[in-house]
Amino acid sequence: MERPREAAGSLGGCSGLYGRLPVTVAMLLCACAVPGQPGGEAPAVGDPVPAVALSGDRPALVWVFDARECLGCNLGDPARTVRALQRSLGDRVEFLVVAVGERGDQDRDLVVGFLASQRISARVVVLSRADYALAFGRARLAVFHITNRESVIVAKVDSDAADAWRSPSDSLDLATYLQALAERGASAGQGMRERSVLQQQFNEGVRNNAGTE
Amino acid sequence: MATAETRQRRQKQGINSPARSGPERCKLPGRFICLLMLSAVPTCDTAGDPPAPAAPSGTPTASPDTELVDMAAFSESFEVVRSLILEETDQAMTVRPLVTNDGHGQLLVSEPMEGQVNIFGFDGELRAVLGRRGEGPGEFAFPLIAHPTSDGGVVVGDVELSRLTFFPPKGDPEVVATPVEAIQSAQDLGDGRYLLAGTISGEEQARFFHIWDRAADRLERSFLPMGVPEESRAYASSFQGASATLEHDTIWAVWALSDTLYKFDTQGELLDRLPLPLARPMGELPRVGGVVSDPEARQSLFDRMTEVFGVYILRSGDLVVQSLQSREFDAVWDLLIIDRQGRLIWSAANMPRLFALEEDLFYFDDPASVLPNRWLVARRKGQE
Repeated sequence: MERPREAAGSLGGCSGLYGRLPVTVAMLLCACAVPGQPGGEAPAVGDPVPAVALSGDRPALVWVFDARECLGCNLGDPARTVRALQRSLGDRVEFLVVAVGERGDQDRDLVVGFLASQRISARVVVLSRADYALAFGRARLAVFHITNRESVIVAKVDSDAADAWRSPSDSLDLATYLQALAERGASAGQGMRERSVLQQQFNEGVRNNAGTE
Repeated sequence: MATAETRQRRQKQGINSPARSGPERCKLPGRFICLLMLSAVPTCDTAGDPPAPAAPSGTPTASPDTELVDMAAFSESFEVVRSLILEETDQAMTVRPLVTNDGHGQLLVSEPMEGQVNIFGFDGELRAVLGRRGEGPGEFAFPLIAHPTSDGGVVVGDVELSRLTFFPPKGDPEVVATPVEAIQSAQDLGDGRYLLAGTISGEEQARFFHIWDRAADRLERSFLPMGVPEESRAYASSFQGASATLEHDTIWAVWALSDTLYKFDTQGELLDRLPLPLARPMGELPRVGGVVSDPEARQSLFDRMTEVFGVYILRSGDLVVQSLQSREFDAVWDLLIIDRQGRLIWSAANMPRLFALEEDLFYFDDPASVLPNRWLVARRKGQE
């Protein structure tokens, strides 16, 4: 997919850095499937989250986006969501960023800098587009994968629409849902029993959630 | 070259906390974007006002920054009086603050990314939270600058929703659209007149300030046009930041890409122009024909431009001007002090970011902390 072209002579930028204000729509990058890569199957609710290792001692929010988006405008709303979740949930939930890019440590630095500027604390994993496509298929980028402590995906949330997201079974908002997930794991029913319950609970309806895939 | 991360690691201790502010990035509606694109169309009627010329590039006087803040230079010039922590609660967090001293013992701290304005005492106590994220009355999409009103309230410009919100001392907020679509701020001039900062759709050469009669919803005058060559206006329109400080019946104004401090009266009549001996040159705007679609190339261009950010007035009447160059997600900040005739008193590059000035006290970002709610209150040495 081609990026939209920018008006000639414009720096573009929706960045309102200090004295600068947004101007053109030009720099919009694709918040879309990774183009041109052969892909495996996108992980579904009930599948283990692929390609990354989670701590396994608590639920996790895995935020997947294109590393280049850090220099654009599209991550502002998801960043606000993650910031608010960290503020309310603290370390009861693990936060991991999967950044898709081809530049290795350069992309890692870019993403770490972006997260720092947003007051977000998260571990960062960088995947090449090929590795991403193998692990995540042609799944849409800019998504939150919510996992239980077994690293099993229990929900997929369009990161731009996280405010409107509600869990399919009990209509919880994302913060309450994550909190419940953390508390459920801490009390009892960990391991396979929890995994089974959550799988059953979410397989039934989560795929119908607007904007998840 | 150091990345934002490595610079922060080197310079700031205690990385275990979520960290600090940087450039603001906002999502704006296409309407706003189109308006600004229109404003970049060439040539113009400048209504008799002299344009604000962008400075030519020149020989840098500031050394390349290996650190964002030159602590030795800072310590040489400033004595830290105390540290200040802005209180944080479930309702208020400091992320990318834009700060106004309301002149009555309070700091009005806009948080564009959070969609709210937090009001603090000078002791850091959180006194009130105005607004929240949304598009309803009293809600914000991207609030920029808050200013006090003469009735004891606060007025806030929301550039994304193209409107002002007035928060009276008591009662419900009032949302008001103005003729200035890309509205950044409003300052109360008295008698129902306001100084608006922002640009108007369709102007061939954008003008950054406007005197607005609120009751009549009429612009009395627009002034300080963008003064760049026609072929560079599209690029220059990426730098819309304009800031003004009121001092009785005087308006001190700056625009990001002009190395001049402008003095107007409250009718918008130009009284004086003071050249600013900035610590580093403005940089040169690309001319027509360039298409910068690569985000890194664009960021690199932004990082090479010096932007004049704001003007503050010391108790002595001398003027403090702050400028910056962005560095990916951060920035380097420079300060200079001039007297009222424009004579240079002092300047330094790579200072901590100045948030506010109160009498002769400077409220700086604390460069030793990764947290943007940790500030230093300092006084210039030898100025007691």
